[in-house]
Amino acid sequence: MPIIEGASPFNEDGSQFAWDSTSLKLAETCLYKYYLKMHVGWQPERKSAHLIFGGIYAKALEDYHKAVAEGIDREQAIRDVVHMALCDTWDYELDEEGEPIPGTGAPWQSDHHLKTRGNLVRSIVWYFEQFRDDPCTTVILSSGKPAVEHSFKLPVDNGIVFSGHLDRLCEYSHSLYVQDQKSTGTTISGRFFDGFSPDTQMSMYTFAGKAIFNLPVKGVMIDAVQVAVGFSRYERGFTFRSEDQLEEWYEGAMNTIERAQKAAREQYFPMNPSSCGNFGGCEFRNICSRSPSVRKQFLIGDFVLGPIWNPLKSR
Amino acid sequence: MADVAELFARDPLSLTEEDLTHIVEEMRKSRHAFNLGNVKAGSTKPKTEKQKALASLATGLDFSL
Repeated sequence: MPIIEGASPFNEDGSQFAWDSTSLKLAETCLYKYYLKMHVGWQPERKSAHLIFGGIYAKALEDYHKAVAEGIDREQAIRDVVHMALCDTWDYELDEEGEPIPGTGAPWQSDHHLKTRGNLVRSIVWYFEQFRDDPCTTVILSSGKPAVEHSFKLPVDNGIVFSGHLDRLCEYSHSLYVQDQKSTGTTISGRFFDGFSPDTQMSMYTFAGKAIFNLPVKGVMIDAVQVAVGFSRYERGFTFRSEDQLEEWYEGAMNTIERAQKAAREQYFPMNPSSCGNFGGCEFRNICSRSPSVRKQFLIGDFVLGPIWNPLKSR
Repeated sequence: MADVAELFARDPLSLTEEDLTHIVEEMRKSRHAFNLGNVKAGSTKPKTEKQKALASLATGLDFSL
């Protein structure tokens, strides 16, 4: 069956068949959280500054690599992505077709003291200075196209489709890696990179990179930026995946998907109370701590119903 | 040429190639200054009332050495 761009990621019985690392991580973490976000569509009223900042930052670097690989002058490519970042952090009024109306709006006001507009542009420009003579190169595919901006939909077993977006496939020190960008407000140490093994996003990227490009991808090269008040500091780290590790991850992922599909069919999504305190606390903790009979009122008060995340929608 | 803060406050769709070049150059200069140690990293802690009062006094002073 062809996989249609933007089609529903759910089967007729309500179970999800198209999985990206975001939805898979949700299901791994807590089936109730997965239900609230993926099946109902509850989301915070205001999009997280971390998501906005990280998304534009990664897109800027990805666009730059694509432009340079296609022969655009380096300085021009930098100006273009800086311009893109400035436009994407300007809250324009939109016309009937959803296009920004020039001369309207105002700069995006971040609610985080580090993930600001100024720090975003600085982090982009400083990245290109930091990696000015980068020995890492973009892989050119046999089609002649650079391996950047690659959205994938990969059919696997049991009618499941893995989907996602690979920023860039690169060669570094005679090995191939998927490249990913991360930003953080804290100092980047070895422990920061240790956090990506095991990690579903990195395993899925490696799995997909190997399958899609049919190349011996060793893992993910992570370029991380520490965004601070007066500076941006960069560290490059690697997370490797052997064939055995990928097989193990795949078995676990399929098991998680099976549990989530069963939960959807039975309409029973149990909480995982052990994960409520992870990473500074789950965004739904204040909801889940209430009695089930009053939870919806609190959800209405603190969250909004938005479009449900669709793994089949390309970036 | 306008300073970077003023360019950041403008509608980005109105920025020219020259404006963007200026922004990039200023960002590069700030990195160079930071690497030379001429720019402090700053603190993420909010200023105390006492620090705010001192800062406002310093802003009002007008003298040169």
